[in-house]
Amino acid sequence: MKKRALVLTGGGDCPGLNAVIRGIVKRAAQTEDWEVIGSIQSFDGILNEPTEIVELDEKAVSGIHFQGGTILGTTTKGGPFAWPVKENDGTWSFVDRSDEMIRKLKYLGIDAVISIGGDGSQRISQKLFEKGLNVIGVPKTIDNDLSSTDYTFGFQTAVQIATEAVDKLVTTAASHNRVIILEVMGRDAGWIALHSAIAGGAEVCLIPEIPYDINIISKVIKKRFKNGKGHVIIVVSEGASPKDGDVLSEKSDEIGNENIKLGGIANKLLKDLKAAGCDADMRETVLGHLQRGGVPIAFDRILATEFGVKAMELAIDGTFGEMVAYHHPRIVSVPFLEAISKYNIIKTDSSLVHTARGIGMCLGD
Amino acid sequence: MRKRILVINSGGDCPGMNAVIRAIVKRTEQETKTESDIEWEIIGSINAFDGILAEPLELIPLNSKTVRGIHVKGGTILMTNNKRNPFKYPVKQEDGSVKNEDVSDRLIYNLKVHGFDAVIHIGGNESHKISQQLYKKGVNIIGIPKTINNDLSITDYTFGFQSAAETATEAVDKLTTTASSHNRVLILEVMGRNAGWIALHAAIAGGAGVCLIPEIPFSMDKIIEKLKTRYDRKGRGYAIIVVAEGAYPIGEKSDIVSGTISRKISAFLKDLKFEADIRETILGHLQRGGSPMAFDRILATELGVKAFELVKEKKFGTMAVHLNSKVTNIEIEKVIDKYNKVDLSGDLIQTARGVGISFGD
Repeated sequence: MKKRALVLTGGGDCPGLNAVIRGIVKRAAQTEDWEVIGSIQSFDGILNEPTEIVELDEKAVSGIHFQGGTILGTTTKGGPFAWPVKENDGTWSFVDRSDEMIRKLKYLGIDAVISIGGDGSQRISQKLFEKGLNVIGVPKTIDNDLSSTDYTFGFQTAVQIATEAVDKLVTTAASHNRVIILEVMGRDAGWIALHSAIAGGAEVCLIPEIPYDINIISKVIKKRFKNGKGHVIIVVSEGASPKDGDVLSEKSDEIGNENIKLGGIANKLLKDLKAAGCDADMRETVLGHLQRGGVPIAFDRILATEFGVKAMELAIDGTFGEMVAYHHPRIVSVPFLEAISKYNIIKTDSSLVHTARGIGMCLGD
Repeated sequence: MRKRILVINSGGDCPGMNAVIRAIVKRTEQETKTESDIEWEIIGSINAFDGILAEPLELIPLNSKTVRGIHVKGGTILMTNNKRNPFKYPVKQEDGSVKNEDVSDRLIYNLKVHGFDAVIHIGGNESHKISQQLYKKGVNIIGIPKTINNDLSITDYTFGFQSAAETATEAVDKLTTTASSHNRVLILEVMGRNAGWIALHAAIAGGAGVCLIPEIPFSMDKIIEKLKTRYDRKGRGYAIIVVAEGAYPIGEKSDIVSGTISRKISAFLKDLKFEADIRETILGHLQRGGSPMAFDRILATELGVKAFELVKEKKFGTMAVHLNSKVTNIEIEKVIDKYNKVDLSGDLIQTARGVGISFGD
């Protein structure tokens, strides 16, 4: 009987997920003794009854690398350690179904699990690994906020989309002499904001790493307007916050989703600028899930394919408890514990921040 | 005190050059505002070295107005040329013929007469051989690497490369749908000179079946072997071959004349009576055109800012580079004598083989 690898995708979707799946399957197809199956919607496919798993052969993955999203579906909720159960009184509680799941994987003859996901998923992988499951991780985040890998796939695509948004906003802002605020993703790290601000040539960029001073931004805007003529583009991370204030967030009302919902900073900024005496016309654009959609750019497809091939090779070699990572120019693997221990935030003394300041960009400080 | 910097770009054009020029100017203007005793001036030389060499001189002042919004545009506002080496400069003779002459002394004289304190030279491998020669002759020069081919060593990436790889990948995407509809073999020829970076990246990202690069001389029989696995008994199937312009069959030599290698492979396949329809696409200068990707704009901006700072710190004879995720500088000499070829034991090659791409070996 062939050995079986189970692939699943968890957390928010991200351009390049399909290219990873294809990389895994194509690498396995070159061996005599491995086959690949996929679990629908993260671990749900295994935990649900009837089980939802699909066979992944070369035909199933043909041409999927240029589609965004994931053919397996994904979820940001639940998981084997916190399975939501509705009580008789209508409230929700969470059940640990991990032991049951590990038994089920044994019945299904699974020799390796490849879990593609963000830091939440990697944490689940580590707990499963500690319970004896053969797990391999593949990092996934459009936010580029994992420190154990130089880049994550999906990030460059998100940056490209945000940059094209800046390009477009510049021409309309210039025509109307407006201030336009673009809100982009990035919870604890401002990578997408800073990259797209430099690439698109925004005048102001606000990131979570540097709390901003509204009066300084207001001054920059006044300087850019002469006799009411001028324009300013502000790129702001959803996780940015003022010097004397907090991040705008609300608790998610989705069952089992522990992440807080961020957003609304563009609107707050607009109101605060008005209050600070900024009288220019102002508009906001919130880019939202456009940053997760569409066709992955070449960079991300290549990185994703490299991750997929490497993950399958770890399975073939029997190396478990590790996550694949990119350390330029090599693809390596690092233990889960190391992978999830540190966030990758922008260092304020980095070349990137230096470059932004070097072309005169205001970072709100 | 006034200080003048001359910006020259030479060699083939490349998406991101304008972003470099813009960054140099923006960084310089900041300096002028803060340091009142030095007034920096940035001047551009039109059409590579022509602007500072050919009479009447064509030099244009660059300021924040002239560079506004240019980072979004491909090409270069200064225009460029790859046949203007001051050490082998084409000079029209009295009888109307053209002879290449060493006019480097005149170049140095012109720089002095017009009060230039430093030169920032944006160019590829060949261009920086010129930079090094000029530096040896006493010119205060700072280099910025530029090539869509990614073939300069000691820098992680060069700007323009990701844009070229993206254009080539989109071409593979498009060829895939038409190839599969007609059960054809489609050959896509891409740039790269003696390195296969663009081809390899486009083949992995686009999902081609065969990728031919100069680093791995190919065998026609091996290609046929791979193509056969792509077709069923009814002759249904398709294949995409991405070939670098510098690729060549085992036992032959590299040509690098646009269209040669793809037509050669096509003719080979037809001679060997491979049964599917075969067509060629030569991507050509589409790879140099268009708006640069965000990645390249950022890299170009980083290098432009750094280049001015190197002038200010008088680190002449060095080049601004992106190395180990940091923007730093390195002696031009060290960069030009090593060509950056695809590492055959690297992970990129292993990934390609891992998804079943054949290199014809």
